[in-house]
Amino acid sequence: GMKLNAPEEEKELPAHACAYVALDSGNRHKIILTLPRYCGIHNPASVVKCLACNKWFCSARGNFSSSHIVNHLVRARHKEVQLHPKSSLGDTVLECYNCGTKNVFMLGFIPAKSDTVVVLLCRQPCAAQTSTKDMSWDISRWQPLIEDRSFLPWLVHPPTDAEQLRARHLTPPQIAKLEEMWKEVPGATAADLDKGVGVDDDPHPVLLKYDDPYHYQNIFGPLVKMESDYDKKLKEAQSEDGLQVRWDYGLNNKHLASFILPKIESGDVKLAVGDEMRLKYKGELRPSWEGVGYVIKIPNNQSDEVTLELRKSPNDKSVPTECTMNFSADYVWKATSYDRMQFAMKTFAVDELSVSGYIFHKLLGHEVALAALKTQMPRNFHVPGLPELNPRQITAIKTVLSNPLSLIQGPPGTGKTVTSATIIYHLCKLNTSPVLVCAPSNVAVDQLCERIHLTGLKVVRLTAKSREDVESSVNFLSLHEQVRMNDTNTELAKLVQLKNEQGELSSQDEKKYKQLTRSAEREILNNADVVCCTCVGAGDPRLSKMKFRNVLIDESTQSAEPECMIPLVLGCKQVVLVGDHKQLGPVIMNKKAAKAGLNQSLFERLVKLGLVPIRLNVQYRMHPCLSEFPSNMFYEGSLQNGVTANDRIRRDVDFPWPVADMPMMFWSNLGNEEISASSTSYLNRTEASNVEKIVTRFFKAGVKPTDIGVITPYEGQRSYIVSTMQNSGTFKKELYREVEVASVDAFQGREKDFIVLSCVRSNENQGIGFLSDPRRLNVALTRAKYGLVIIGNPKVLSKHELWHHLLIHFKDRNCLVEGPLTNLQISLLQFGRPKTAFR
Amino acid sequence: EEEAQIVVTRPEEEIDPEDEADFEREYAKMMAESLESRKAERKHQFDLPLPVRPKAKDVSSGGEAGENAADGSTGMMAFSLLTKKGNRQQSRTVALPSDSQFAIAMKNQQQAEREE
Ligand SMILES: [Zn+2]
Ligand SMILES: [Zn+2]
Ligand SMILES: [Zn+2]
Repeated sequence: GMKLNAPEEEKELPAHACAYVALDSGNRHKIILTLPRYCGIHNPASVVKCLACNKWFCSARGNFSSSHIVNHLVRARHKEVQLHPKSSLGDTVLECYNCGTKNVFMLGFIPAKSDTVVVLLCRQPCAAQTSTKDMSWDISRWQPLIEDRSFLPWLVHPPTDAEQLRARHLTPPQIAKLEEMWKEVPGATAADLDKGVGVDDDPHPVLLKYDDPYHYQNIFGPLVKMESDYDKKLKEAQSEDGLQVRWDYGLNNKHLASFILPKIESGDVKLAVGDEMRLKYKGELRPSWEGVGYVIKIPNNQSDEVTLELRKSPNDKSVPTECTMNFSADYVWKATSYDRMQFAMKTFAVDELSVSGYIFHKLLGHEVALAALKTQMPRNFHVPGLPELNPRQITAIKTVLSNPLSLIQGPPGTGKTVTSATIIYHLCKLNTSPVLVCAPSNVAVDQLCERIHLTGLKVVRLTAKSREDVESSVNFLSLHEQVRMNDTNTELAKLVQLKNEQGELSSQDEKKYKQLTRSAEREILNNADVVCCTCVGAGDPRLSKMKFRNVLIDESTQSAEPECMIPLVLGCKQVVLVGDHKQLGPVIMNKKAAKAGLNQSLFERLVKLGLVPIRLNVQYRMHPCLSEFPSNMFYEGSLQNGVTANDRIRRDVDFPWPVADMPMMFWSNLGNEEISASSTSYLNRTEASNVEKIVTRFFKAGVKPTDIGVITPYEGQRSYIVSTMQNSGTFKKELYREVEVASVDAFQGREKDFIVLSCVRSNENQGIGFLSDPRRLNVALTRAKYGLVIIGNPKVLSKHELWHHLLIHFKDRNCLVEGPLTNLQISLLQFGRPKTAFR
Repeated sequence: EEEAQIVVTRPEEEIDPEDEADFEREYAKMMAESLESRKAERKHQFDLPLPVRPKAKDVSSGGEAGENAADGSTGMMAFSLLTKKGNRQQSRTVALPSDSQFAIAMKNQQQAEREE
């Protein structure tokens, strides 16, 4: 089943929160079973308990003319209440001092005639008597407890505006319905109101604006749950038998098991470094055995092996290293990332300090105005260790520094990372607390981490425990490494040494070791200028006690919204989201969840809400002829070239470009597409063979294999191209192996000197699948610095409006060609009108 | 660090007049029933002596009851609320806004006493 968060991580509202703003998502998704029954306003001074039903209600009015408490008492016909024990009057039951009646509709205060004393008295009969002259109380000035359909504000304080704005907002009909439900089911909550929406069949789509954080959670919670269930099912179905294992011994004294997983080829499951697998021995040479480990290597161009680093365990000696056959491997699915998304949304709802008031309302899509921050602008924006900035980059940095929430859009090659690093530098100089820097992927985090380190700031890279042994260029910046290198704590150093020598520690020492490690980690984190981790990594318990006023999320357009929430709910007041919503978005595996909008990033929603991103507009990557089409099609022609045609021509490379000064061509291939062996993908033999010819031609011209990238949208074609190059290429196999062949998605955020794009799809009637996504095309077209070859069927592709434009673009420039590579001819093909619109 | 000043605008939600009228009726019914049920109630003479304590002075200068809750600068005036816990009398401080009717009456009274 699902793993719930540890108790100390629970964030629950006190049970005395107003029941009208209650939300219980437990019925919908197990993961937040421990969500507050009640939530919303819970300030002890603002709530009272209805003694008839033991529910708490606040004195907010919401959308009513009456306060929640009075509304409840009237609708439920309840009459007696008690104040909160932590209110200034303690747990007083409101009752007539004289006769003891508790009916609040009858109660009122009378003052003493000549002293600052008041007492509660019922209107009938106690306050109905006439005041005698010698009496010390003035009955004639009896004042009802409930006035204007609310308890006297000095007795039960109205919640502040801020409290009310954060609370869940139920409409009057919803409240009336809830009251009806309570008559049948006293424990019903606001979440039960929307029951009947079939979550599994038809999830509620995401919205642009949300009433409150509970509304937000109610929409996103089920979507995250759907994706998580789907992921679990997919991964757990990956059990593989009959594996052959090769054993090794790691430098850290851990066993390494390497094997080939045939199912991975089918491409359904993306195995990642850091994933957990269980290896079992089922043969007859020895008693059965099983061990768990982390994946430290996945199949790559060099080898198809997966390597697992076994976790140390007391029965380490029994690891069957003498056996090589009859192993099986299962995927150990972990809920961590999904749990953290759910937890972040919960924190956003119940913890007032999770984000500033301004960010809170902005995230929900509310209209909120704020004067610009009074930022002491740096005199010089240039940062040591980083390149000079262009004017738009400087504008972006200025804008970001003076605003609590800003978006930076970085089209391909526009210096997004440099801009981000510069912003982070200045944020650190302007603030005393560490800046939190996140990105969806470890690769992106490492890249940024490296850049920031170059500026001289103190950077800490927080990695998941499962990735501590994974090699990375920024290993020396990682938290565990910094703890290890810190030799000032001799006691800890001794224990580390002992642990390394003996393999394990006594339980006493282990406890001490953990405690010392934790405090060393805390110290390093608190002294850091910048803490870097993945978005999911920001949910690490080691950061849970920290507050991050400033947060920058790079590649934010590649993470689903709930993932972005994880770093945000650690107390942010100033947020920078960097990304490009015109490139690929988050990868959501569950189609229904994606369709419901889980594949939309927070960045994109904020853009739709009218927050204008600052667009970096000078690209330094592509030959100007390569940036022209993407600029016009995806960026309203706004991309300028920071490199000249001369900078991006490889005159030494002899290649049959149709136009000498334009290193681009669309090579018409009319070969047929086929369903691939795994029957889940496509391949195209003609195209694969021609990819090999082009790569070979580049080799002949002296281009290094690592400077060439082959992009194809289909896994079937990817593996077919790899084997075609191996089998038909005239150069050494190792050279072809160094050419990266991958999906568009794998190339996002990266560049190569030369790119070959194999489109694959070639059929008369069906669609063009993946290729119809303009964002995917944008990424595919913008990876090359010095030259781009597109191989595809123009007749089929031109039926699609976007591709029609692209083909016209190539044709008008005499770059659409056909025939053998040795004798390319300008194609005279005419295109019909495209059938489909691409937006 | 101060929380920045923000202004949130939320679209006004319309109050359905029919709902409103419905609630109005329920409320009136509740009041009437409550009153009705108390008509037959036997009368207890209310005769509670004031607690023995120094008379409160101008609250803003810190009278007995004014010590904690009241402060002239915050526009509040401290009163004592007498309640019963079992048979024992309890006195709790409650801060009334200076412009509440009790507070105004008390100020007038103090003013009058001073003039006498
Ligand atoms: Zn009740
Ligand atoms: Zn309420
Ligand atoms: Zn009474």
